[in-house]
Amino acid sequence: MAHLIRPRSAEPPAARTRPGVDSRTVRRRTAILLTGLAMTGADGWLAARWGTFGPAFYVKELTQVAVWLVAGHLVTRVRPHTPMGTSMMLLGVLLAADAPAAFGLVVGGPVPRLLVTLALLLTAWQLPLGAHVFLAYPSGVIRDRAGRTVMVCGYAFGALAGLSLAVFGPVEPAGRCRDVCAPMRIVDRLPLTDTAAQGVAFGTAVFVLVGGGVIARRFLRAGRRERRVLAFPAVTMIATAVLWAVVSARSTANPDSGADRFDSVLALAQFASLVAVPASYFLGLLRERLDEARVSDLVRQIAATAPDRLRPALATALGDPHLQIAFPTPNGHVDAGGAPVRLSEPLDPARTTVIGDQDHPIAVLIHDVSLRAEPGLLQAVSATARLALENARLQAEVRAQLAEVRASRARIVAAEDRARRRLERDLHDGAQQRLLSVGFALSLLRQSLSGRETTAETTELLAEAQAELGAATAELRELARGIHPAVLTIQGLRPALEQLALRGPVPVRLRVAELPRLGPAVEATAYFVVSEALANVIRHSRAGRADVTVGLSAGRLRVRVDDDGIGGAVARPGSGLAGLADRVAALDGEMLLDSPPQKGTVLTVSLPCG
Amino acid sequence: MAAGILLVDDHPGFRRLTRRLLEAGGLEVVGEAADGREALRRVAALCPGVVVMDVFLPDMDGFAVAERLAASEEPPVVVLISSHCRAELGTRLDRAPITGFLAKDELSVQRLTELLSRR
Repeated sequence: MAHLIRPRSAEPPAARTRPGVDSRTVRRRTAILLTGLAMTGADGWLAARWGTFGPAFYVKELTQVAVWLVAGHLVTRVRPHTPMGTSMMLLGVLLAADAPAAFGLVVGGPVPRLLVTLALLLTAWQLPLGAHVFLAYPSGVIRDRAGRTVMVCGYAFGALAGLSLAVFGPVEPAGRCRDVCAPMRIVDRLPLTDTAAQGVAFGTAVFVLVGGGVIARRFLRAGRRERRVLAFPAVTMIATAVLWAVVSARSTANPDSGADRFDSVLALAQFASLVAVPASYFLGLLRERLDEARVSDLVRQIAATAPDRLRPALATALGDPHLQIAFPTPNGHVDAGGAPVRLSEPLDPARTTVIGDQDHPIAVLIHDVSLRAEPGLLQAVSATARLALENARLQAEVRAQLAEVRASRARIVAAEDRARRRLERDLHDGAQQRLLSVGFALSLLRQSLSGRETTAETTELLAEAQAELGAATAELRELARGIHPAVLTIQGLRPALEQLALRGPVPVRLRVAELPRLGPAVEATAYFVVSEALANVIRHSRAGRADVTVGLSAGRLRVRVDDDGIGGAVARPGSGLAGLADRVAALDGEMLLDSPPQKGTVLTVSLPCG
Repeated sequence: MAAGILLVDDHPGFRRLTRRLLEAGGLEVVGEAADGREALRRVAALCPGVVVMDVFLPDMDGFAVAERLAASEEPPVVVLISSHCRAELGTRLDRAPITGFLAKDELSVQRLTELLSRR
């Protein structure tokens, strides 16, 4: 069952809420944003008051947090129907919550220690939640099985890492932090702490590499439009994953890895990639804005868009150059030109959108699968184009009917030709054979009578019978040729015209180009056109000569018959010329008769034969 | 003239009367065939000296049969006949490995004998 898009008839319930998003969701998202920002402020206060590192470190940390929160908020505005923005803000809140664990605060006492311990435990969830955001981009929902499996493993790993941190504590950093950087731990044995830290770091490296692989695979399998959406975020996400894996690998290799935190190059690269991920969502935001701008352009232009320009217009508005539009008709789907379009049944809901009512669909959009993640855009474009699509559908239906009528006329002509050929063959193979047999019988009779005594009357009657039989055979042959000349079937148009030109009393100059064998209907029509034209020359024109020119150019057979007669020829209804004009039109050809009085006659016919 | 004529035409009445006409003129008709394949079988079995054959047969045309016969070890003389005239059949007649062509309304012992004697 394809997705049905219906234009909304009612305004959104409240001006401040996005369409389809209730006010409770909006309040919840606002609360998450405000909580994150408040925690970021509190982190800043802690860093300013008790921090032992340089201000650049704290600015880096807090900027990272703020970027996730703000980007997440903007994404909730752009994609209100998806949980993407909320997930991003939750990641920002988590980063704000666990930031103090890395701050190197120099204040003692149980409250800071408890705070840092809680922050440390939350650190364990940074990786799975971050991976969740990465893998769920851009819809906010992880749709593929590989991604879901990675996430289940990720949250399990987060729980284990948190437990490890709670029991053994973190490895003490080697920097200046000597105070609350070493919070409370249940088991206070350094070798166990080192081993647990190595295990967590190793697991982290494996996890991020697998997650990066899933993102890379998704990118490689995506369609062209989806790749455009995924490209920059995918690169930044994979870069982040690789950097994270490098940090974890170094931690594994060197247990005294507290120094990593101060490795300025690595830290800057990690910061850049982490900030680049939410920044890439900004690009998504810009793209969304461009989509909206394109929809606005469509709204302005749609009234003046011709039905045959509708597909490119919608393709531009949807950012999908391969968009196709199919219009339902009683005889199946057709395109805007009325040509049949084959759609796989049932329609793939991920790639098709049906516009209109279930019972009376107007059109089917066949689009890139990534557009399914942007129902708002599809809805806006579909609603904008609904009237134009309705017009286009009506035109397409008329064109399809016209095409069917043309095809039907061509079939009638072809059927008539087949019938003529069959009749001609039957006359040759049937009646003519019998007449010939009778002729042979009369010859035998004459032979048998030649040695006997017969009356003159018998001999005379026999001779008369043979003469009549010869005349009947000749008439029959002429009749068969008029129905359908055998030479045309056997040898083609040129030899048939050569024989035709020799038969009349008026000299005919024949110029026929080298022709391949053409369709039987085209050959027969061209032959009958020349035949009828020459018959008119003989009967009415009083011409002294006639010229027949036949050539092939631009996929059309062009036939011209002209004479130097008295002109004034008219294709009257019911005349042979009028019948031929109908036959030419049935083959999508053109026939022109130019016959001014006293200036000869030119009959020109052009027939498609591609 | 080589011994025996094989007459090939899909119209039985025409075959019967043609056979009588040829035999009345002193020619020997050794067999008849109604189509191209039967003609090839009869030629192999009867070894006629002459094959008088219609151009249009139900299964294959007389030109194709003539080409098959020409490729055999001892090809018979082939004369094609047709209710169509020479002009209608065109240049295929000139290219075919045959001794001659007669329109059916021209077919007579005299014309056939003349044609065969011109070889």
